Amino acid sequence: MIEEFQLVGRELFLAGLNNSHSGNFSIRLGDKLIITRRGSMLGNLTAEDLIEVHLWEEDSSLIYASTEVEVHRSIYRNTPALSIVHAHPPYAVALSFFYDTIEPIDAEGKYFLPRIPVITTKETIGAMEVARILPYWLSKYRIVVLREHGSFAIGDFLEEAFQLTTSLEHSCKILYFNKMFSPFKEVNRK
Amino acid sequence: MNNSNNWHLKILEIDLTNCISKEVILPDEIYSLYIGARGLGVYLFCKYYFANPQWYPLVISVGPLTGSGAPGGVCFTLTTKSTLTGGINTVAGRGNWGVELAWSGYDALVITGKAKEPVYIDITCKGVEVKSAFHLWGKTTSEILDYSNKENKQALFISTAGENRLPLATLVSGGDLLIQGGGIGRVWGEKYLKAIFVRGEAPRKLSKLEEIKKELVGIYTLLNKNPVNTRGLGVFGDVGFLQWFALKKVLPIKNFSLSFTPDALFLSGEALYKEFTLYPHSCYACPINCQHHLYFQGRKVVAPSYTVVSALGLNPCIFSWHYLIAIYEECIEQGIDPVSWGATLSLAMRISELGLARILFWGKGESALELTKKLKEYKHFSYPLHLGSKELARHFNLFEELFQIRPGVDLVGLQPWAGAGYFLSLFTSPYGGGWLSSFIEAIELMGIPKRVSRFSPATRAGILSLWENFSTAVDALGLCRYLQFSLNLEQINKLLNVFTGEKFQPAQLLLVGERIWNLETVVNYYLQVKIKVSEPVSIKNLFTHFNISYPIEEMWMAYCKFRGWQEEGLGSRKKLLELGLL
Repeated sequence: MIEEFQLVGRELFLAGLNNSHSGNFSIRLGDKLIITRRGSMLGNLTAEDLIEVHLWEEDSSLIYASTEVEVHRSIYRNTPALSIVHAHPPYAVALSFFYDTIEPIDAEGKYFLPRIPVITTKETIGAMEVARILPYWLSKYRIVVLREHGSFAIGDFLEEAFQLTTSLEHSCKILYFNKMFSPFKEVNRK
Repeated sequence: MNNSNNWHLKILEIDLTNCISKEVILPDEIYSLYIGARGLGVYLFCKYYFANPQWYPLVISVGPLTGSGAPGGVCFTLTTKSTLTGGINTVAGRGNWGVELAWSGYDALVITGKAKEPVYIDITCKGVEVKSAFHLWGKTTSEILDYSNKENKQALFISTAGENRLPLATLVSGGDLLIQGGGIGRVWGEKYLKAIFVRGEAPRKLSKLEEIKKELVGIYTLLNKNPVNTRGLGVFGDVGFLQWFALKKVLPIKNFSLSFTPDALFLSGEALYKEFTLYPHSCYACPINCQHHLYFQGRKVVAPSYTVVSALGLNPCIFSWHYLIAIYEECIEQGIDPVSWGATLSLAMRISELGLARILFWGKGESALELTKKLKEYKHFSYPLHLGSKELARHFNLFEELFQIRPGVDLVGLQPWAGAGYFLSLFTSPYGGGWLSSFIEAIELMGIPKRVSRFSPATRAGILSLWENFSTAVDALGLCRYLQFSLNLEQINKLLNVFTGEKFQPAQLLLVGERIWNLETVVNYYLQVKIKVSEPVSIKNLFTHFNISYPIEEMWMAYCKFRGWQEEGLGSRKKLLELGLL
């Protein structure tokens, strides 16, 4: 399991989807979940960075788990998700300031993620409000963006949630460049 | 200092020999150099002890943030000469007693001499009186608490163990014990001082309240969002750390011979939570709520902390909440330090296992409880259990089973090898170390604020000396150490400035911590308690048993370099001049 976590953590960091110590991800194991440690470096995870937390009961391991652990617990309790990836993809976060829904314009994005809701909450980091409302959105969409903060993706496999995150960022990048270049689009187009 | 709401700029000298007291004004610069609480404690101890050692001064001091309304601002410090080590003894107390003292208008009490008959000190807004305590002498904790509740005053007192001058004796404050008291209860007993009752005049006045509230929004967010507070301390108390230490296999079990057993999880925070309803109990103005009460045999009692659980539960293998709480309750009733008593029980069990005597056996909670009750009639003991583990080891000539690095101070909470920095800290601490004495265990074992490789000694000397200074500065402010789980140096410094209106810089605060640490070491040096960096035979055997070794001498040399110390553990002339200690 550690290899899977190391792979996804490293790729998230190398793809620029998190800074050195941000982001978190988890998998569900029955009535428990394994989540990355609070403040861990996702690009360089070790076995000590994986924290096992009970899904339903009070558990002192929550002390060491990622700050977003309550959001993860809530999603697992209320959706069939088996994996969750939370990242801070810069283009997606930047667009979240201006859009209520991100609609990719690139072909692959349109196919995989035709519509990505942008959700606004009063507090965004480790907030109970986020834990309360995200399961609703994630039972309709596989990935959502929390305005000013980052993305939450779910999947049956960790790699699937990771893929959704990279697809989101890729589509947001294209959307961004498209907006940037739009003043020139008529010039060179035949 | 600018703000006299936080510093009263005066202390109270109480001479027990002549039953008189007088106020003494302290110069401003003392507060700039030592701030308060632990800093003021060591300064005043030094001043009075070296003026006349016969006075055997006992200093009780508060910090500028004690009772100020700052989160965690509930601590006071007792400083005296330890009856266990012969060196300086600094004990931190929490709870409302310190808050009331801070509100009474004094930054510190300096109690000198020895009364001719039992006395207590009564501090109210009307004045200070030293009164006869004949009616209180012989009374146990519950009786004194009833008395103080009737009088509507906060009490800090000794119970029967202190009266009997047992080395195991400690103080009781607000129904709870001062853990790892270093034999402080015996000092009170020797002085015939039964109790100090205090009723402060009024809460400290805060100027610019709105400004303070605004400035504190970020600090409160950090405290209220930190899972150590919200999911750990606030739910289970610090016994919630046990499960994690079990996972790391660093628990002290069966007189340190084991570091893990599945039975240990019967004493985890989760197990306590399932067995009892825990009622959070907040110290004054603190949002963390780390203390809890529970109902045991129909009575409301204090839930045991991690230190208590490790001393009275893990080490003697008493894996039952029923017996553990009952023994702890008996310790509270008699005013016995559970750390010293737990180490004594564990050693007695080991002695019995070796067939040297039949005292009691591993895990026998009922026998341990009976023995604890019999401490009242210690004269009937066949073996010197009432004198603590050191004397018991001496009696049986069994020092290879005595786990003390500083003679007289029992190890508690963790295996000494749990982390390289933690091991080093047991040598460097002026009072022998203990749970979170330097906070290095939180860094090495819990990864707070950042994870380090705990067995790697290379960087540990620098980190340890820095965090020792930081933790000492936190003590000097009168703040609770648990704040360090959530707030860094800059944020703690901000708390100081916001509440006092001063303009301290973080580096300046760190320098105050370094000054206090150095002065405590200097005092120890003059009291002939010098740092010896060689492991006792018990620790050497333990390291062999667990197949671990640290280059302690190299680590010590690196530590001395960071501190600007000579090898014998004393600041160089240059360093002491720099800190204003020469």
